[in-house]
Amino acid sequence: MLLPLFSINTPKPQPFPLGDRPINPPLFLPPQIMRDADRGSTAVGLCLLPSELLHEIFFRLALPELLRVRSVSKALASLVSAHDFRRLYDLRSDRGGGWLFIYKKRPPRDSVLRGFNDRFGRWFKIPVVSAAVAPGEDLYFLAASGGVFLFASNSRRELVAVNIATRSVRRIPPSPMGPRGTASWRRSGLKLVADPSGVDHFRFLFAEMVHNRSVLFEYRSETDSWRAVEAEPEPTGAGSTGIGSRRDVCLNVVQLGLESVVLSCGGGGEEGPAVVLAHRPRFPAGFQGGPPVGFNTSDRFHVYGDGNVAVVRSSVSETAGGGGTTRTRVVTGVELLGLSGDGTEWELTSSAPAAIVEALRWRPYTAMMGCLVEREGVVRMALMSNCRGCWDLAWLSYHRAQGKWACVPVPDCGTTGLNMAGIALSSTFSRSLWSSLSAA
Amino acid sequence: MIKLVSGDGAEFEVEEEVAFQSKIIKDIVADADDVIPLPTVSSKVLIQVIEYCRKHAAVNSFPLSPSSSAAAAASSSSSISYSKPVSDPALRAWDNEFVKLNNSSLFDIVIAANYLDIEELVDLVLETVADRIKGKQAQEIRRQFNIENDFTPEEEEALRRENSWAFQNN
Repeated sequence: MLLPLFSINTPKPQPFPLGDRPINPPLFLPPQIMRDADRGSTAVGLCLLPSELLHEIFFRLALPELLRVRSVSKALASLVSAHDFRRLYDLRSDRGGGWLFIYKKRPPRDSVLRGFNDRFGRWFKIPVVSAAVAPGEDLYFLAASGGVFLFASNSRRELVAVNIATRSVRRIPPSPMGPRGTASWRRSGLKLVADPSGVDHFRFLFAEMVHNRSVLFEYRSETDSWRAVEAEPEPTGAGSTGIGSRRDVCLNVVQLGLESVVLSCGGGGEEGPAVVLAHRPRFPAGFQGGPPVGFNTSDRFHVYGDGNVAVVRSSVSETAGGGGTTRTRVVTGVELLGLSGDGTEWELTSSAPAAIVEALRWRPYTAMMGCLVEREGVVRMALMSNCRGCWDLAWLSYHRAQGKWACVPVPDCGTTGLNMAGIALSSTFSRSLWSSLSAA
Repeated sequence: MIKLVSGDGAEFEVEEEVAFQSKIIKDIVADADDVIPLPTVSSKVLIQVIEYCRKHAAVNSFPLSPSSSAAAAASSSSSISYSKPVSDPALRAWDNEFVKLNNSSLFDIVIAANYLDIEELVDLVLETVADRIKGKQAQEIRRQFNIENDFTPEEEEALRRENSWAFQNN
């Protein structure tokens, strides 16, 4: 039997059961293309591929790569800048994915900022620093949001914000706490919030205990000024529910044993947060840990961020060899806890499944640091561990809606001998790249 | 056997399981002795597509063991994979050799594979093309794909200014 594809012989009016898969261009290619293909020339160029296939190629590229595709030709520029493409790309790529940034120094006075994208599993070099830094200036990287990167300058004892989209550099006046060196900035109770509209404005918040009171300090680039708000104690008893919905920013202030202090603020207008509350959530039994930030050597390591805390449990493993025994740690569990609705407790959100713990277990370490952010129901955390001078990075994420954990392998980015000068996570960097794409 | 006829009239007899790597052929074939004209596929391209289908039909005819399908399920849940992973390392190595072709050959194959609905082959080629874009600057992408720069010098300068911070891969 002769059965031509797409012929008049098929009973259906549509010549072929194509399902919902659009075929584009028409099934019969223009004779021009056939001829050229037969000649084996390069006439079937990239730009002549059906747009559905071009989309599929570009879905495999991270946003920095799409930015470069935009500069190739007008046809490609209009394709990747199109609203339809962006909608599909966001859908396919978790809105471009989250970013981990590592700032590293290369003696004597060179430095580099690298970004790792979890969705695409690749590192990018972000040449933001050279433009921003005076020669010899000693910077420590604190936080990133949108296109804004915040550094603390040790030599000048001030904060420097760099916007990579506008390439503007802003030196922030001293906070009400006075000028301070980088050491006092290295903690989890700080947050950078770039204006989501893409305008070159941002807020920087940090929480600090001042004379045993919790105080929120906020800098606004719009007014180039600081303000300090003392946190109100959390209302207790009945009627204190509903606070959770007003929490825009949660900052960890301090943690001691089973007690911790978290500041939350929300309901902010032009003048800043309307409500600043100090919560004293208690950990469930069995969750007491070490200091809340920095290099940690105890058996429970806490990583705070956005009203969450990840508790990394570990056990000591001793291996004999060389000149004696070596004590290292291996991860034995990871639990994610969140601030309860009334702010009085850390509640268990989820424990990482065995497969995730297994992926971490094979990397013994001697010290660990980490960071955690949450955005749109996705909690992302980076754990950076050090074993005898070698750095190792692990990236975990937890999707609230699906209740699913994932561990993204992070390829090595030349971390041997890494002179680490700050790490930070950002869920909003992709957004700022999109705005530079649609500006085309 | 199923007979495939290329656009330039060449006939290729292939086993059913080879032809059935194409979902579209699988859906329409009623009879084992069907003749299927493929007017838009040249014989040169059809030979390559058949080569791919023959290899994959041979490997896919062995059902996956529970452990390897579990591994495939685990890696597909990883957030970076778009394509269904080819779990067999030998087959993956073969695929890597198969796509060592120039761009225009790859484009011809992907258009044919898309037309015939051979999903794995479409994914393989698109992934390969994407790999040839990754890590390249605009000028290198133009050279790689023989694309003419149709921006005016002014437009190009504006793009360069905007992207002056744009990234290098590590």
